[in-house]
Amino acid sequence: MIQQDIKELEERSIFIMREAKSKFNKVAALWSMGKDSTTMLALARKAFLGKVPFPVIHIDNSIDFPETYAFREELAKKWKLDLIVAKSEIKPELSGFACCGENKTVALKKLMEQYGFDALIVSIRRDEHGIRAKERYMSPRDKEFKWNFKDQPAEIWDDYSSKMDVKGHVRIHPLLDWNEIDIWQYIKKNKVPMNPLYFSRNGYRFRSLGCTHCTVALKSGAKNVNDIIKELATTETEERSGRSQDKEKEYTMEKLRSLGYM
Amino acid sequence: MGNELSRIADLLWKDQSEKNWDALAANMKKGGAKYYRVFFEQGKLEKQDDLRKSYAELYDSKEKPIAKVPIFKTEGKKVEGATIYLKGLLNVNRVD
Repeated sequence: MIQQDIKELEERSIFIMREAKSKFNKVAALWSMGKDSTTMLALARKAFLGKVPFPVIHIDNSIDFPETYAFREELAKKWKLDLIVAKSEIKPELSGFACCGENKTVALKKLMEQYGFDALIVSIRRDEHGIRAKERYMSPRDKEFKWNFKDQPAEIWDDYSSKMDVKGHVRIHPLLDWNEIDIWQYIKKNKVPMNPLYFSRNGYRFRSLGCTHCTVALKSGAKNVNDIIKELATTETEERSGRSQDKEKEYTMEKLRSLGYM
Repeated sequence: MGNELSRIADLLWKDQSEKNWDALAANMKKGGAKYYRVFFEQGKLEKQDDLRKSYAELYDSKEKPIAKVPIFKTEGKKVEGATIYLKGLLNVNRVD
């Protein structure tokens, strides 16, 4: 796995978040209590003098791991986060992506309407999934949350387009160019608190976290951040191999994202 | 105290009300529970009601099973996930 210059990545992410905060009226961030979104919040604290200056949204399908809930409450208190918990329901839908797909999007749509957010910070990374590689740092979504990936602003020479004529909202992706190993290097360097499920117990750990029904632990002996970094340097297993929705076809993921899935 | 945990677990299978879940949360650790594992073995989770097919096993510090509980809460006919009530227990991290 390629490691990049953490300082350079940090500076760019901080710039993107400051740009978003100054250019949009109402900004919010999605927080799943996973390593990426928690790292994003740590970056936000660095960008805004120790305080996350926007509401943090957890789309809660009420079957997350108990450790995840405990981590949410602990960190929300410690970092004085303005936490909004949006309950999502599981309803039948065609693709089998029941709780992660349309249902979470429905809860988020409702919340966005209620609060009037015009920009949403999401901590996706390009290396996680093929379709996420098509994203931009600032990417428009229409009123229905739909993403037209064939018609996005060009972001050449680091010119991030925050002036967009959108009827919906803009997704901000400050971690787009980070790799999984960069995230762990940053966690190590900055002592970012982390969900305990990432660390091995009985020879298994979670490498990517979803809810209790779609995520399984993978074989790993990595008990701390250093072990994880060592493991990632040599692994040939995909990061999201424990996530059931990623086992479906690339096209399905592309379709889901274009419909608004995070 | 282990008996009390079993009693509440039995009660939860009959009635998944908030009151019973609160009772479980208050007695889980006193009853010796340290770890848990969620099981979902039947079909796909496509609607909230499918949570009825799920359950969690609670284990003591030696990972010996001590109770089996549902992982949903009911409010009238409404079904909702309830893993938040297992807060404080640790996932067993097995995929066998």
